[in-house]
Amino acid sequence: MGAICTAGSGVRAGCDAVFQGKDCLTPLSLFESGLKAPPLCGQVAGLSDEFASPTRTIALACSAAREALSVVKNRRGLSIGLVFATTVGGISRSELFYRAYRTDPETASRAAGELAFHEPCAASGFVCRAFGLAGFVTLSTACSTGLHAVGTAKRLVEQGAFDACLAVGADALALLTIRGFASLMLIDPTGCKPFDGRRAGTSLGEGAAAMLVASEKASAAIGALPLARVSGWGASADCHHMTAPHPEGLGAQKAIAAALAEAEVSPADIGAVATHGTATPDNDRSEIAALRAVFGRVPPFFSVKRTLGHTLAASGILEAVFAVRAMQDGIIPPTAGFEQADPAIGLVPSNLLRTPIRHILKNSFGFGGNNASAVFSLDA
Amino acid sequence: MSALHIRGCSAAIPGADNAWQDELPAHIKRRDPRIWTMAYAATARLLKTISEKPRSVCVGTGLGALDETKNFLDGLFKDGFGSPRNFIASVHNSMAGKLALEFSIDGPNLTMCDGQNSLASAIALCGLLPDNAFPCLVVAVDEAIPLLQELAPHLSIDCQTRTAGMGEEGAVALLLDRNSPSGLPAIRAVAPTPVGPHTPEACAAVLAESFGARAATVRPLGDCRSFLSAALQVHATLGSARPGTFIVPSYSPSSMACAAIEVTV
Repeated sequence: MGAICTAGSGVRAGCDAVFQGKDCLTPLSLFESGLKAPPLCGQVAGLSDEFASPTRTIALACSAAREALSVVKNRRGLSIGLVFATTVGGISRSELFYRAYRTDPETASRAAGELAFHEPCAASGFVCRAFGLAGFVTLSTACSTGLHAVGTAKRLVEQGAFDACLAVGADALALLTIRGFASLMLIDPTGCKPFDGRRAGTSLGEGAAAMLVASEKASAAIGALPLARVSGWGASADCHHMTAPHPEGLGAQKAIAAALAEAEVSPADIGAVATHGTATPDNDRSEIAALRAVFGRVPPFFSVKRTLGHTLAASGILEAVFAVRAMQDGIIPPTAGFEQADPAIGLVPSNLLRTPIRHILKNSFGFGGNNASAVFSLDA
Repeated sequence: MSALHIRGCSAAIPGADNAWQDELPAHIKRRDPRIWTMAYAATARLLKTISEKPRSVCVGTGLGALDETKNFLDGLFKDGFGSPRNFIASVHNSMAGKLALEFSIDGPNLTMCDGQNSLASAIALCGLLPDNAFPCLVVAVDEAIPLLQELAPHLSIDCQTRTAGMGEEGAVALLLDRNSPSGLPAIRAVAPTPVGPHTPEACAAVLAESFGARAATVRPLGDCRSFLSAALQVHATLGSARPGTFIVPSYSPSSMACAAIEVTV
């Protein structure tokens, strides 16, 4: 696994922040947002880039991919594919270009290469070539993309398309997303407060994460010990609204149930839930409603959005990486930003708990009523 | 990479056939972005001919609702405020979400953005879905926007190559099934494989390795500039009803990768 986020570069740095429930958000300084005050965001500081990446999203992706692939001791004869998840792709460069073009087309002509990296697949192609991978697909399903990428990687390996498959999710902060979420009044200027009665929106972040999914045979050939099993993946659509989740979380229920069924575990087997937990009023309420419907008695749950920010397409994999580590360490992380219970939710996220966990559920939901759930398991 | 059966195929291609616009329900015609209307029209035409409802959606699109992205940024740069409607629609998976909403398709809902290879990716991904996700609606959709023609003189050659795919628009919808009565056309796809700078030889090598040395008609790769080129070729192949196995290759200059779709009629 590999990760880079506002807490630092590397899985360990992220785990340290998540497990301690740190608040790593800082006022946006990467660019001028045009909002009254810079919103609190999860920004990656000091991003080093040895790949001469053409965009920040690609630089983040390469950092996470390199860490995840560092466990591969032997690649001879093995086919390793890539499932790449992004929502913004190269929009940061396109924004700069278009702003310049609107002001002065002559200026734009001097920055004419900027649009060349707009397409999401420009990023996946770059990562694929940088690491000598055999093939790729590029997913973009808004904030659920990362977890779908893990599920897709699982399927590609199961069906023999590749011996192993690297799921990578990456998104850099961009004006489009900051102002887009702001236009929908989905950003809490004081920082997000997942599941809190005062919650008023999310906080955006940037980052990347990578998970190498391999068959048992390929794991042995690679020379890496499996950390966990991707035991189930579920996907569904709400069919309710383009941005608002179904109030009872009907679509989410379906995705969670499908993931549990594929994992062949019962709700009682799930030791913890790594929620989507964006801290928007509707999302948190809907997610808890879905968990109640599936579980009855909801397992301990947590959100890392106040620690890392909502990293969009990266979030599903990034948060799954920390969920897997939490499961390995027998830790249920606290939820930074949570202070006051919401009577409308009726449940509170767990404090830091130390307890053995064999199966953990991860949820990711996105615009378009898009739902992804996955179960990660430690083999007995 | 097992083959799927094609239960039906329809298209909404502006210029070639403008009747699709008259078929749109008023609420869609009045309110929705153009790219959504094309995806809707192709799907509505398809589902009119088939009694069974799709259970999942896989959309392939190069750039999604690019015009909505532009409109959002225009608002931001001009008035200091981007429209939330533009932002919602600008998200790459907005077409897939809209199709799920309009046609009540509550199963897996996935969007692939692999440039000219997007339809191949969508078909390949469809093949990974569980049995209960079938039949699956697969839609290729992209829009042309005037801004790119306006920008073209300012773009570098590399950038022109990469953005040239944005010049054609339309939607092609397929309903794919895993277990269907025999006799239906079949389809399968090879997802993007990196080949570096575009050479027909490199793509031919990928095709040969992926599909084997079977007797097949390989459609010309052409200049592969359109995001919709592969989808239009699949649509034309199915429309011609000429029996045989046809391979539709594609190449994305942005990702420097080629892919292919095999259609057996």
